[in-house]
Amino acid sequence: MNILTRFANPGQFLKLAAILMPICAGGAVVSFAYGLYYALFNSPPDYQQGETVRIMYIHVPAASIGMMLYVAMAVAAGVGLVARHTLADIFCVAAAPVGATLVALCLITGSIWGKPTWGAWWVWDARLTSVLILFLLYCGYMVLRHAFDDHERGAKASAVLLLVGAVNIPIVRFSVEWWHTLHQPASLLRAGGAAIAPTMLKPLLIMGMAYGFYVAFLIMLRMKTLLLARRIEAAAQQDD
Amino acid sequence: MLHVSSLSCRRGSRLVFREVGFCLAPGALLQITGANGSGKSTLLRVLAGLLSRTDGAITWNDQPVGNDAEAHRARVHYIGHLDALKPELTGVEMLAYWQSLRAASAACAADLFGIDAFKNKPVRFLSAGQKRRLALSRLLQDDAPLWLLDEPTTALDENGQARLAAAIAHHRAKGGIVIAAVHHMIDAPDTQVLAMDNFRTSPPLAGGTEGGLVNTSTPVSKPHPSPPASGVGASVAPPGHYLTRNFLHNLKLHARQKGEWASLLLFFAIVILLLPFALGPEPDLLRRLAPGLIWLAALLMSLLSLDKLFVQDARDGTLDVLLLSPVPLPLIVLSKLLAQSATMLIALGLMLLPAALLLGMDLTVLPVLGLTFLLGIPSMVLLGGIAGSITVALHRNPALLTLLLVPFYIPILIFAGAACDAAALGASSLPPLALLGAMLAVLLPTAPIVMAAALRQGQG
Repeated sequence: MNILTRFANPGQFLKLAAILMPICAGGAVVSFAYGLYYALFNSPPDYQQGETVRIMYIHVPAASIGMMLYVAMAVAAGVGLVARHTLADIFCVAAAPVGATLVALCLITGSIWGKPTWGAWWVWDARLTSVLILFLLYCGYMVLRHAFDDHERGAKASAVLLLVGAVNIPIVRFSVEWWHTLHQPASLLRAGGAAIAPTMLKPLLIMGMAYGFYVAFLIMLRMKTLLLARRIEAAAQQDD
Repeated sequence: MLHVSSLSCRRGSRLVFREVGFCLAPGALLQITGANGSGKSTLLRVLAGLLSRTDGAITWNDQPVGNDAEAHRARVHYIGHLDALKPELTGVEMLAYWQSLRAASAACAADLFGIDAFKNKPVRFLSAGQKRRLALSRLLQDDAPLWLLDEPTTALDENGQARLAAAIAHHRAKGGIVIAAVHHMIDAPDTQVLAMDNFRTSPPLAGGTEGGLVNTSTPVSKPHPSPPASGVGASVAPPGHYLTRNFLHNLKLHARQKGEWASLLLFFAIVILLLPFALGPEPDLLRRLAPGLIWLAALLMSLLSLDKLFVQDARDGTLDVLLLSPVPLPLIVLSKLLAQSATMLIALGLMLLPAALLLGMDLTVLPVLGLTFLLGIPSMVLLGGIAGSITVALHRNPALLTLLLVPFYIPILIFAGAACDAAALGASSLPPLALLGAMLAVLLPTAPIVMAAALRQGQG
């Protein structure tokens, strides 16, 4: 509890962010430079997919972090509803556009990869469909959150939406998989059970780290900006 | 005894009022005056518990009212600007409905507001003053000791105003407390006045106490033969009782709104009619797609009907009455949504066979399609209710509602489609039907609680 309350104190958060933000920024620059070089020039092309496999290094980290962010937002929303910490709402507001962008990036890069590989920009694959629905959930959250002028009410209403959405994710996942197996013959290229080659795994992990650093930096920056903006708002109200 | 001390309220970034304080003994009448926008209505809504205060304390017999919100709702009658009347129902039906929303019933037979002459007419035929009298009749439903009246004399003729003054005098004589926001003072003895214009300005009025309360007369010293009990005499009815009565009321309302439902059905029929033009007339294609197309049309129709759930109630003031009812809000909301589902199912049931025939659907699939409606439509209505209750405070963006709902409708659509497909192929459609049933079973108890919480917090 002590840790939670200490972290949830905006002043403490700003102090912590002041230390962590340079580290994350530096980590992102270094690991992006190294990871991109590794992924684009220093790793082998796939024996089947050829050079297009390099899209994976952009695509996979975006997908996994985009999904993790939604879960993190739902957890923060739950904590915010119970413990009434404004920082939880600020985290959600800060993370939502980042998560939505990641998911959009995942969809776009997947589509670019799909055209040469599957011969179509989009197929109604179970995984693709559930990521698309995740994107819709992000959009719904952002639109709802910004529809409220009053922060407190907007925070509560959109936290409810996040939680209901988080409950919905496994249901969507399950139903879409069912739907897909029901309607779609297994015509797609299957990844197969073969494990990923170490020469590809290493750049992928580095890229994942780079995304992690960058996203952490971005969210902390946005949280800091939002906190300061709210302070300005509060100060303006005092002057009324 | 109502005690209010250093009450402040902030709406968004605007400070509506601050440091309001007064103390009212049983039998007191407080008239709140002030220019338009001075915060009279906000103060009344805060006292009713519809809005949360930013600062300060409200106590009833030395108990903070926030401690037991349900007891506070039972002791309050709030009459706002809106009359909370449904144009399709008659006065008698409205009174019966309001009665069902109060925990205790003290049938007050006396026609204090002179509504006997018109109470059997549908509300849409009534004049503004007659509607006002009907709304004021809510005050007589039970012995709730605290009346909060927001410009109660609006649209009332002289006779009506005199009747209101008499009702207030009668209530005070019984030991009740009346707080009224007024532009023209109600003529009554021993009245206290709170001038909202003056509490914020620096020079206090002569004789003004702190917080702007101006006593124009000595505090009440009436004999109180029967001081009001803090909680209304509880004649607790079982929850099922409210559920059925509310459900039937809503069904009756839907039956009177035939025109609106008919236009929704017409919309459904038009979608079905247009689909063959978009897809081509091949019978095989249409037969295969028919269940999915019918479901799609039903989904679009239910999105259109969501507006009826809470937006209309918020617009005509019914929502305030529901929120201030001592009956648990989840029960009220559940009965409302069940009625909505029932009406939707009846309406769709009428159209199901014609739609199936038009699209050349395999008629052996029809029972399964009907079952998916039976299990899926209530879930859709409940989910729509959650989104509607979250967005009702915004009432400006219907597209938002759709965006919020689409991710939640997809599983229903998938399972319903899977059940129909299985039936068409001669396989067992039990698994998807069971999943639809499971979703409904989870939503039935949880959705009303989420909706009630969202509606309450949506008020501020």
